[in-house]
Amino acid sequence: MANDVLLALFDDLDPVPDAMRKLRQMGLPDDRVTVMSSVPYQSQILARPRARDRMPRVALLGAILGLVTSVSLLAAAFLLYPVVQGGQPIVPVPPSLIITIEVTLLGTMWTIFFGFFVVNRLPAFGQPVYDRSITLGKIGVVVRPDEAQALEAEKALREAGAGDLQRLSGDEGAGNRAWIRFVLGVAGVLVVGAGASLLFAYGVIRIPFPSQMVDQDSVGYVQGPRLSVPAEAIPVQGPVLLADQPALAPVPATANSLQRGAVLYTIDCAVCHGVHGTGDGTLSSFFNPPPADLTSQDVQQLPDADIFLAITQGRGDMLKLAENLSPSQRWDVVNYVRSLQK
Amino acid sequence: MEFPNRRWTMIVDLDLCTGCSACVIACHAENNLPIVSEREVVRGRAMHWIHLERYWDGAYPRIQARFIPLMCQQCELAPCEPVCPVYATQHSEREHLNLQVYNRCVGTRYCQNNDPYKVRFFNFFDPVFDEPLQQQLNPDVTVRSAGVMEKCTFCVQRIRRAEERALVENRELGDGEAVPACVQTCPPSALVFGDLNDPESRVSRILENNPRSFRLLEHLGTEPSVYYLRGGESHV
Amino acid sequence: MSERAQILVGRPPQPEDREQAQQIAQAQERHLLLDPRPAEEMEESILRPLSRGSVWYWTALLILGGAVLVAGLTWLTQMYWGMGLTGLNRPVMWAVYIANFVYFIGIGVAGTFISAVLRLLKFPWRAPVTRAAEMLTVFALATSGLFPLIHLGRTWKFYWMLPYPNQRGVWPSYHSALMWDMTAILIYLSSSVLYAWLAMLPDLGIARDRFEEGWRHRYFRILAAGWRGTEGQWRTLKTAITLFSLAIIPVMVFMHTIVGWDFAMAIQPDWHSSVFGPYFVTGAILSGAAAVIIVLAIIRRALHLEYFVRPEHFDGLGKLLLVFSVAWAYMYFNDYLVPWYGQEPAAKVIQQLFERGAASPLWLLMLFSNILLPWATLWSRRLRTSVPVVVVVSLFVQVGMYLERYLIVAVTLGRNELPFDWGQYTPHLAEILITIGAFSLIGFLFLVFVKLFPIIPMWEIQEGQMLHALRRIGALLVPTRAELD
Repeated sequence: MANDVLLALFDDLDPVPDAMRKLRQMGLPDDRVTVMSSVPYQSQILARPRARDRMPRVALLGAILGLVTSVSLLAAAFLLYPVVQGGQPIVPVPPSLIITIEVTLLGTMWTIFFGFFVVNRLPAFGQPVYDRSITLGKIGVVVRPDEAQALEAEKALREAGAGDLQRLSGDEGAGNRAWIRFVLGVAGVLVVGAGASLLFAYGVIRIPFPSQMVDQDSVGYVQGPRLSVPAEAIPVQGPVLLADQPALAPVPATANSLQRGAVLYTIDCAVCHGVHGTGDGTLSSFFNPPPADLTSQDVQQLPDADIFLAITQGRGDMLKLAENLSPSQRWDVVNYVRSLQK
Repeated sequence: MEFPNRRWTMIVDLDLCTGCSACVIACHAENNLPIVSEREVVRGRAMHWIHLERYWDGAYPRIQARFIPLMCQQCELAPCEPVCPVYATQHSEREHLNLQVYNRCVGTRYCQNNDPYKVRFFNFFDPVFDEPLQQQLNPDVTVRSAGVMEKCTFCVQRIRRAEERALVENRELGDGEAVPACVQTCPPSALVFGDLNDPESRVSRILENNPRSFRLLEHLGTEPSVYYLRGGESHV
Repeated sequence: MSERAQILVGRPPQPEDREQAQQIAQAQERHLLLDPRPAEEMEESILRPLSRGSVWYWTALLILGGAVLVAGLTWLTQMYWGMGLTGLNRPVMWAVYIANFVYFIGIGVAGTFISAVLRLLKFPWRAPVTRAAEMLTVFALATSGLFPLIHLGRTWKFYWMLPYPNQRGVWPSYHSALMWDMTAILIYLSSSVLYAWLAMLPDLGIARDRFEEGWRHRYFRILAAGWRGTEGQWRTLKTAITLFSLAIIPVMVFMHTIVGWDFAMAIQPDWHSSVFGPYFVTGAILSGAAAVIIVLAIIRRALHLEYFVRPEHFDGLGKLLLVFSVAWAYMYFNDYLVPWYGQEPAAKVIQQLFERGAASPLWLLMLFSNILLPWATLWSRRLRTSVPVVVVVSLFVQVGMYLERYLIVAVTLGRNELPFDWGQYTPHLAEILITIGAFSLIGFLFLVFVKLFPIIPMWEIQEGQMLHALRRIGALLVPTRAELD
């Protein structure tokens, strides 16, 4: 059960030391009284004992933290992956001094800042005892008396000249617990954040980002020239090579090509391979093995280039037709033979 | 792979150099150097890893052109190295070369400020190779993007190739096998390249007790790996 | 008159009462700290600008915001096309961006210098100046911190300069002065923000109490973090501020020294000078004090804060300006004398370029602005207490200091040991737009800040008014200060 808290507001500074003395005479311990003001008053001005000040030790702790951080940072930077630059030693002393001093001071300053909040248990949660008129110049005196002393304390304050006296219920416990939860929450966020950023730092999570120098315009040794054929050009000397693709017939299988191929086939090929390409032409019985069935899987799964070569150089008992047909005519026949399967 | 220690050195004989600039072209071809436009050259952004520094001497009608081919001096105590904040330029202890790592460079350009010979070049724009000129690019050398510093590397890709071939064929690297493009091209053979660690190499024999040899800006203490041989009357 | 400004007189009031009354009135008109007003009135006049805005304010915000936007777009364009959009060339690889960087850091240095050093030395005229000075530091540093990114050829890889565990097999190189730079800037910027916040806590409490409801009350409540003004809080705050000031002063000195070392570490003639560290620090404080004067004059006029910022403050800052102008002249003479005497060819060429060459008008203007004008005007108390005079001198000092940076960076790089590689630099549109944007950014941030936070430190003024009083010595009433620490 929280005790009532008294908040007395004084219009001016002068009555306050008086009030302090009265409260002390009453037997109230000094740590039950707090004075709030809008300007800093020395403790002697208020006739109060000196407030505890832990900041110098906090600053020293910060300096030590900074020193440790800087030494680790430099050790990591110079010794993890040693690189020689400009004849300087692997661990150069003057730059190390510079960084050490800087980071030590960083540690000091940041620790002072955050230490201030920790030491004063700020930010304050719950409802701390306060009145807005304090920032208008009034001086607030907060008294936490026991049940027994409450009335006496109130009387002492009024006698001293308090302009305004309020009774409030103050519970510091809830505020403290909320503050601890807040600090732990912030620490947790920082740790998780650091861990998550390590995921990025070590490439576990990669952000795809265009890196210009990965894609080079130069042509690699294992690649052919990446020149694609202009549309109107017809390379007649051989199969067209496109990077990463099997050889293709340079003459596309258009209706014209198939028509030409059909005519040429009738003239040059049908006599052995048959009108429908099934290997039963007029002269087929004179060959052993017989002329190939062009509609069969064996023939159709050959690459275009093979069929072209068979026509050009002959195969087995088949004559070579290089002198009979020009290369583009041979490609027409190849296209026609391809269409025979369908 | 373990390679032996080298001390790559280049000698420029100023008596033999005619100023023909064939080395400049060869370097362009070998190292994928872009042709910055005429406008950019006027702005002072020409990119020639090896170039001829030309000075006019005398007054009309007795004017002489004095020129000196200048490339990265591959300094032993290179001032351009320690100023790079990301280790994009480092020193190779084994080969005594000044290395430039293109994909690490963030483009602070501090190295160029600290380079007394001003032989480092910055890519102010992306290089443009009109079709079909990109077919000519050397696949051994990265084409650098905008924002990256570059400089002469003593054709380290050719050195690497030669050393790998020697290792694979289980033999010593011969003198003159690793040869940069400029050295290969130079018509009067004014450029000589080799390993100073090898007492039998051409560079060692030329430099031994040679009264003509000097290095540029020696008073700065950069310890360059490029030696110049003083010319006769008509040259530097 | 409230009890705070006690007038201690050695004798009861004499027939010279009217004279004494006249002396009191004069002292109160001159010195802010002897002229207390009720707290409510002071707070109201400081917090009024937060809720009231004029047409001028919004117009200025729009124009400055527009300039910042244009600069941002220019930067993006530059990142897309490459650094070729600037006027950089070989050998002038650093120019306006680095000059801006050094210039803005210089301004930033002085803000915290004024705040921290004057707090430690307990100068009376620092009271209304500290917050504006600290915020000038923060904004100038934030702006200057953009320039190392702007001048990078591959800006998007800047994070490679941060030291963190990674899988690349390489860390940043602390051999390089640029890494010391990055460390120092990050440390100084973050610490200045924390320092400003720490010193602002009681004022945030005041603002939280004066704005009773609405979004302003909410964010003041959050930022004030429960400040109540208890003895423990005050004691720890004062110690924290003192210790923080003691720590931030070496950081500040180091910060600009390291920026000077960016140049001194180089082999470039005329950069390679061991005086660059202190020289840059002195120049920074000079330009920063001038910047604080300008900012203060603008705030005073625009927010009608003539009660708070009085000619006595310009008097104090003017003295600071004069002292550092003398110090800067000493440093500059050092830097000039040694190469002049040594007659090293490359350095000599640069000096001739400054004295007789194309850079001569800039060089002479710099000397006029930094030395001649302050020395001619700031010795006189009458001129120092005239706000327009001090502001004009400060503007000239800004011009002079900017020219000094420009001459050191862009013009000097055009000359080096090998004459074939000399060059000339002219700024291009991209650099001009981004520079204008940078200046506008500081103004923009200030405008935003002034709308959201009190620009005058109320608690320090109230504390000062408590400590200062008039005391009679013989026939004279003298301002005195109580020593309470």
